[in-house]
Amino acid sequence: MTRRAQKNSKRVGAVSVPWQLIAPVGLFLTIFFILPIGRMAYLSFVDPKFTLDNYTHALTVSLYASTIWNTVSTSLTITIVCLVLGYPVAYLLATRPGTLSLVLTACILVTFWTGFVVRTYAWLILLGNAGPIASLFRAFGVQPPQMLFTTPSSTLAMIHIMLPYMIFLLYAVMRRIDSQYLRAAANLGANPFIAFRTVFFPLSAPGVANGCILVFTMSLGFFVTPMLLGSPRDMMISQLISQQIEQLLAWGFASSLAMILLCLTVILLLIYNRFFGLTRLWG
Amino acid sequence: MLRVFSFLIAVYLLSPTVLVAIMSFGDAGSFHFPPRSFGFAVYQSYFDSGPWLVATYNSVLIAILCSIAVMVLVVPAAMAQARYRYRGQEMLNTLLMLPIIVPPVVSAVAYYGFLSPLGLTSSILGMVIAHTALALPVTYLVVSASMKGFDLNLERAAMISGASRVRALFHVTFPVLRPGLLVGALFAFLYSFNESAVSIFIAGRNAETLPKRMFGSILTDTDPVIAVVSTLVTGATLLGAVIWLLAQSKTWRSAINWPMGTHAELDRPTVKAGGLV
Amino acid sequence: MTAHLRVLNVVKSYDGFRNAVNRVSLDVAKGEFISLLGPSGSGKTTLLLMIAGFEQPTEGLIELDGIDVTSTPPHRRNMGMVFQGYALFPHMTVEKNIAFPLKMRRWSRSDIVARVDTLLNMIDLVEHRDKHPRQLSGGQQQRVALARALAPNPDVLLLDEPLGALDKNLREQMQIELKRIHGETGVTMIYVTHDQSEAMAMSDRIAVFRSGSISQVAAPLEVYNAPADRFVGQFIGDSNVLPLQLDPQRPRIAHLDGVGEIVLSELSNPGGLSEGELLLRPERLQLINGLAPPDLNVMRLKVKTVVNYGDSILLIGLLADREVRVRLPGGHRRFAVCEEIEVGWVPSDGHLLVA
Repeated sequence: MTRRAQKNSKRVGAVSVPWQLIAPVGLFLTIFFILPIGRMAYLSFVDPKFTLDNYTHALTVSLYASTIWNTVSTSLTITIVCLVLGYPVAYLLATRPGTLSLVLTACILVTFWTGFVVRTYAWLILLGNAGPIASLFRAFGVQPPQMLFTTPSSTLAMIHIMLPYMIFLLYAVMRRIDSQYLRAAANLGANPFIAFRTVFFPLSAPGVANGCILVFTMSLGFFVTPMLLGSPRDMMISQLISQQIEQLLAWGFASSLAMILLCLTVILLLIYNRFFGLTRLWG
Repeated sequence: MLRVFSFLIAVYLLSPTVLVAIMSFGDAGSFHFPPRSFGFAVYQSYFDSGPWLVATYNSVLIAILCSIAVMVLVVPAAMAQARYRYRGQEMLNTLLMLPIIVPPVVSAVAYYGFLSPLGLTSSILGMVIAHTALALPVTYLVVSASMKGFDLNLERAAMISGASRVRALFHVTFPVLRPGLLVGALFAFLYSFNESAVSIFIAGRNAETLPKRMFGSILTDTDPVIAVVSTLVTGATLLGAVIWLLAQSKTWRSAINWPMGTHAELDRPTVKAGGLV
Repeated sequence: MTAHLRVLNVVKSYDGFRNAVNRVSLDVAKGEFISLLGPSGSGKTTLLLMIAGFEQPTEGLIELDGIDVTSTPPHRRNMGMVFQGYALFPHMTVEKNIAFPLKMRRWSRSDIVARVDTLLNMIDLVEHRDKHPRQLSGGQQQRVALARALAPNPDVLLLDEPLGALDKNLREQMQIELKRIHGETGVTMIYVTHDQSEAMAMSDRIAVFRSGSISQVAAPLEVYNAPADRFVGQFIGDSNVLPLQLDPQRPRIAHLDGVGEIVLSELSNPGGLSEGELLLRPERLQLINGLAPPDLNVMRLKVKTVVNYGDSILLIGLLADREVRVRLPGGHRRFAVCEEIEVGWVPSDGHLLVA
């Protein structure tokens, strides 16, 4: 009987890369996503000539700088309001399943499926001169104020659009909080408020972080709503970019604005990654 | 108290959809709300309008092509990520998530600048390319979640029973994963269908989708046709959801984890503080 | 005689540093029921996966009936496997699940129907043939998994902790079932478990795994009464391990702290060492009332804890600051803490462990 020691180098789970499986998507994204962005970055430095002028222009001219600032502060407002409104709702969904939860979930899902343009349109009608709110004012004999095409109107609509995202992200983390912790806290003598403050809320913190980071970055770059409802004077970055391209064909400048926006977003995500790890966001 | 608040929020969230639906049944030529008269006049405008119907057709076509392309790209990648451990895995994950990280307006500018010189603006192909890239992250999340929940022992059981790797995939893996894959395709479809920012920039006249047309018409149309489109789309989506939920009740949920779950389900908690299951 | 299944010097390393399976060799006879027993991470499941073909050995050889199958893919090994969690195909009925391996081997339609019927009868689930797995209880699913694995008359049946998810009573029932099926079919069974009482109950032989290697392969009673080392002795069943001083001049006598001289069993092999350990099974210690029979080794214990299980009594006593566990048959005798009692054992019931 011969004995043969067989050296076998094929190991499952070793370093071999499954190329055929990942090459298609990797290639596609590189050519059809990385490349366009790269080209845009290139343009920002090269149009109209090889220079950093576009950036200095964007950051120093007060009009543009204030646009950037405006965008950031509005996004912050939106994030905070969404958090305040969304937290109780997510809490209810996560801790008290029941008919209300089902109804609520259905509402949230329906809102998700409704496109941004449509939701913005609805606000256009709501806040418009022929809409119900204006009629309410008139019913009291008061001239309705200018509600559309102002920062508040755009903000209000964006809160409405972002709220489902915030609720969903909060819920995703909350529903995994083991209710036994709260029971244990109660058993140890904590009243519901203290139990919430010391047990539930800290455990929900990752959800809060997820929700805030996502809503904030989405608001920064949001396009449709500010374009349709926003003020032409107090613009958000996306309005400015659109204006620069469509009306002024200022490719380089628009690209630099876009790059600034992109960098802002990436920096935020990197900070988030430092504290929480980005992979949290996509499980 | 909590319930009252949540109920109000539900109303708040739902009211635009409802409002818009009511508008669609209102009188043509007016944006008055509540509408002064009711009827199908606005629906008539929609169905009579060539451009609107073309936009609908474009939206559906692009969305279908997009979801096919996305699934072809995503499914192998999700399998690779779920089953193997290799160098650069983290990097691929990040790459896959990039399109969603980049703000829509930035993507819009990038695609506009990229597709213009190639002559692919205002074309179906250009739109499909852009939408596919943008829909990848969301679809990937859905598909890989269902793959991660897939019990690999099922494949092993198939193999030890005499099925080769390939046969195991077709007889066991794909049938069991089918719901997750369908959801993925659906997400891709809906993403493309609702995509507005990038489409507004690159759709042009030849590849006008519904979101683009709605955007353009919001300030120029005399008819609230948008209301009709929105209501029809929401209605169709709701119908689809109901049908799907009914079909789902007799499926093999025991073998896979759902990414979103049914929210009302009392899942057993999977995360304890400290991250252990 | 060639072994039915032979594992020869198999090594498995996932990362190049640590060996999950460390040069394991095992010969399994045809029709044998052998258990791979050990704590989690001991390598037993990894070895099973290599036997099945789902993992490739880093080194070493696996032979079936003398044929090298080390690189044969799983679907060509003609083995059956029952998985932890059963891995029943959720989208197929019970009938289709069981028929699957036959379909893969391209049996004729009529053959498949006949075979499935036989199996359904064997596992007593005929009325459930059109149900889906999620409609069955855990025990029923388990039986379907077994039937599916046995359907194509495999050479070897592999089982990976199949009873883990069942509750105690059901588990015991299934153990008896499995034994019965083993008797009826005569198929070679390799059974992975961490539950030593399960291994004891069902196996012809037990291979005890520790950190990637096999500590001992022997019939259950031998592993129980004559464990190869301390690990095996303590892993299987309840045990007392007490240090001994040995006298190379007098191989059958040893000195036990707190007791004095005791007689070792005839099978003890001190090998000229001066120190060793005595393995005493708690149930081999007898309570002595009155005068102790002369052939017994006797020790005096001070009662520390008593637990009455109804059918047995666990008494933990102190022997010179060392805890000794004693298992007595159930009864009405009451014990007081700090009471002094005497227990004794027949020398052949004590097992000498040497390093």
